[in-house]
Amino acid sequence: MAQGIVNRVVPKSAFGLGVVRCIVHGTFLVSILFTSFSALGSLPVTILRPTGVMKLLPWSFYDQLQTPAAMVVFKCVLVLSLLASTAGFLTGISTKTSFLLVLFYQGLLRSFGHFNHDEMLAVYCLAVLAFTPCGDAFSIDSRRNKSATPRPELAYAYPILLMQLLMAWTYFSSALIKIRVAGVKYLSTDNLPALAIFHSLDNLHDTHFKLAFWLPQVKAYLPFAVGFVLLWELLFPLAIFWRRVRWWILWFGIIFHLATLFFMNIFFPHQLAMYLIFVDWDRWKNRVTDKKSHPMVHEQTQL
Amino acid sequence: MMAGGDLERGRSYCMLRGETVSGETVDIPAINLTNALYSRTWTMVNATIDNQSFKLTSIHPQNEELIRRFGGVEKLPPGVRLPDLLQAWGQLYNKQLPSSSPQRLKAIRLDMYRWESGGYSDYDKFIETWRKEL
Repeated sequence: MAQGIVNRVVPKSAFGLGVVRCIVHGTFLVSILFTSFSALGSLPVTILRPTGVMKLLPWSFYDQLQTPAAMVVFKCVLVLSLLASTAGFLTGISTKTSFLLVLFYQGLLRSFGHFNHDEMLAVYCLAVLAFTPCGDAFSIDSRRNKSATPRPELAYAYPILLMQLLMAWTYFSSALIKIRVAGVKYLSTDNLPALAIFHSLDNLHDTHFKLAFWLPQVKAYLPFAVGFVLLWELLFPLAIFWRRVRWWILWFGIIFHLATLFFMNIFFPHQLAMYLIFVDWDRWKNRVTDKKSHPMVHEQTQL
Repeated sequence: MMAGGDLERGRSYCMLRGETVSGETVDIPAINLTNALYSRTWTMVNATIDNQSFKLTSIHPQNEELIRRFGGVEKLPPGVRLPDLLQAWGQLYNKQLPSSSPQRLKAIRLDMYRWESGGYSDYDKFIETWRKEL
């Protein structure tokens, strides 16, 4: 029965899981390619505050690593590993090395700053992909080894379901925490304007939009907007099990994250990229295959 | 963020600025210097002002030495490692410009302001500056 539910709500092919592998690893690959590691290596190691298991590493290790040259070497290793895992080359190994290297890199960044959320969901997805057969299709490995024995559909469906559940949990738990920490006060008229203005005052945020200063003029209406966002977060799990509302929930998510960018100078690009996990890639593949095999029928249908 | 915002307490914030060779003062978006720290720069600066790297269970040997010199963590001035951070940022900024450019920095500074509580005004009460000659 559980298998039936899984197969009904998520793509169930090696192809679908392969595309998801490419998206998750590719997101980190692109992000890291555009990041200056030598600049990161220029920051003084004396302001580092190792977090979690990063505390287990000795200071002598960070002294060696936290230099422009060593960080460039680290970037090269990361890029090579992510290139291999994105393309599905030696997938069993490369997905694991990419997961461990990205996890360490994210830990290092959080040891300088704070434990923010944006990349965390994608890191969890890397963990899921590292231990599932995500290289059985849409990969260099699958082209080289065409005689591999096919696995049951569930082996490809449940990792995708797990990643979708993780995303739903990030939003759902976010709403629960807000209700637990702030309670009814979260719906006060000053909540959003005060928070948004605080994030728009300095020049240490990544963007410097000033729309937040307009919010006090409409603050009487903002509790409704905040309440609607809370409701959306609580209802996010419906996106997994109910296809009809899925795209409404995801489109609102895109609008929500764009709003936090323009009003609060806080953006979640990695999290937004993970929305692609909800696309039914099997259906897309079938559509493309149908178009190729029946081009005339398709043209007539269009006419 | 989970607790939401309120007007009951004031909040401090910082502006990173540079003083150019030509005598101008320019705002410097830190993201252009260390883009790896995307979304985390402001908390890194706050933690550095608060000397949080001196309050760990395992402290960097150079920081331990500094604590000994000052006679205790509580005697450290706020942002005792900020000059090192400003030096790194200043050098990164100047590296992006030709050596003859009048836009190169001769000094870099972090200005701290406070938005006092109570209303949507008076956002920029000046508090303190940390400055580093380059």
